[in-house]
Amino acid sequence: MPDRRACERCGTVLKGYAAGRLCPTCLLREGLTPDPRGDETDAMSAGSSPHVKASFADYELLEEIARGGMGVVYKARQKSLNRIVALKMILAGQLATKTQVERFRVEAEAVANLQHPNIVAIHDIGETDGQHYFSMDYVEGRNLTKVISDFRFQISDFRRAAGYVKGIAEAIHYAHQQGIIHRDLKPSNILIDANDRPRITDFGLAKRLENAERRTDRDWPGGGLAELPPAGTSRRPAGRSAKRPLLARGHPLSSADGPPPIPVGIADDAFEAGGGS
Amino acid sequence: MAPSGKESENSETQRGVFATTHWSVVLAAGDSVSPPAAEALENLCRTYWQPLYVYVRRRGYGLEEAQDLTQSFFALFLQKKSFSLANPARGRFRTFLLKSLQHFLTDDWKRDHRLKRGGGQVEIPWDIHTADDHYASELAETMTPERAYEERWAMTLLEQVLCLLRADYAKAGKTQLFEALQDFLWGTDGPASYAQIADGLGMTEGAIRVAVHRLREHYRERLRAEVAHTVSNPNEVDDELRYLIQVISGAR
Repeated sequence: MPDRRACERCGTVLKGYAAGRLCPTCLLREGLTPDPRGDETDAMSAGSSPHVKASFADYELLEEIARGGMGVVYKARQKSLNRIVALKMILAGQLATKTQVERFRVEAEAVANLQHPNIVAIHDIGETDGQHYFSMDYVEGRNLTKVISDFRFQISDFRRAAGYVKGIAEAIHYAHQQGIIHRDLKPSNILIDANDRPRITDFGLAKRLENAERRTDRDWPGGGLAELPPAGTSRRPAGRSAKRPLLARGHPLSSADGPPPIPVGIADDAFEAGGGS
Repeated sequence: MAPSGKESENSETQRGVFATTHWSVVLAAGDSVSPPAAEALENLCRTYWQPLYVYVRRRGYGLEEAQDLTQSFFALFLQKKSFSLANPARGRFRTFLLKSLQHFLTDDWKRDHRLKRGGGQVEIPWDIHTADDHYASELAETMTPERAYEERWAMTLLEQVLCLLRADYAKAGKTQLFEALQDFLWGTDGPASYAQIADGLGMTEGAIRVAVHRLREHYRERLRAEVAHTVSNPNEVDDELRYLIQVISGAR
């Protein structure tokens, strides 16, 4: 049975091969040329951000793992519980506008109500010194864009893809049942964890269904144009908005270069067999 | 102030670290057949055969077939003086070696060349049990062959560096000191305190602190030199390290 301990310093999962207490990630980092600014941390670490300190609230920031138009996500260690989490903050920090803060909290509250194995769960929501943040599961793995790029379009790849679609569709269906519409479902917002399970993240454009029903006849439905399902490209009446992501459920896998991700027959077989999820 | 990347590059070149690295020697040979290039390539292959074996296993071959294929690949790779195919545009040794193996594993190459090995060629010394233990213990069932190759590559690199470091200390008659201090390599406290180690080795705590500092310095030099063996340009050492960090930490 492989050892699944995590490094106390950086959170890297130490598998059976890690000799003694030595963490391979930390060992490799020791070889990097020191930052010319004199920081102890390297270019990937939290010290490179102008808006945060290496230690924030109950969290020790380890490295930046994602950055979008509004938010930045760090791999962090929650000191009180000694666990590795993903910590999301507003990019503008204390300079964030009221609208940015409101959208940030909508995202946090939307996900906080979702408990599903294929959705990245939120642990904590808070504010420290005007900096809003929430912590969530740290998913050890890659996003779907990168996973697909390794596909060789063999039978095993098709089966895996079918399993991903199944998990994603179930999660989106569940979210809709809870009244949450993601509105930005795309490969880079789907993380594939160490157990090859898809985990939906980044609900930054999400809306509660009751809000969408009131407003989506005027609002842009959100997300990139390339990721929109057919129904999302037209200004549909409010009541149909919840169907859009379901229509698009196969789409995150269709955006990779190459042949269609799942030949129909194989997809059917996989679903009937449980989809490998 | 810490050195900039350019200063670091110059100092490494001046120290001769980069001038004699294996992959740069291979690349410098170009199409000509030179004994130093052949020797350098063989040294690289002897160090990094495990990632290739893991890749072949991950492609679905059984233990014996994977062993045979990997050995056949190296024999053919070295026999064909494959360095003549290498040029700086082909990038790092890590990627060149994998692409060469992938080419080898195509059906045509297997059919044409697989049985031609043997007869005075270089045999890579096998520790097949260790390699297969790595194959079994490190890899998630769903890990792609390419990802498995890169993870094992990073681990092989570190194992090589630690092996060289241990040998350096052994040569200086300081094996016991190395054993006591190796847990401090990555910068945080080990299971025992400096004072406990000092007591055990009959040294002062201050002397242990100095020894840890020197160990880390020496380790860093060894690591950068080993990475330099596999890249074509000194500018690439930090980039290669960052890439391998991402591989190991799961960001890739």
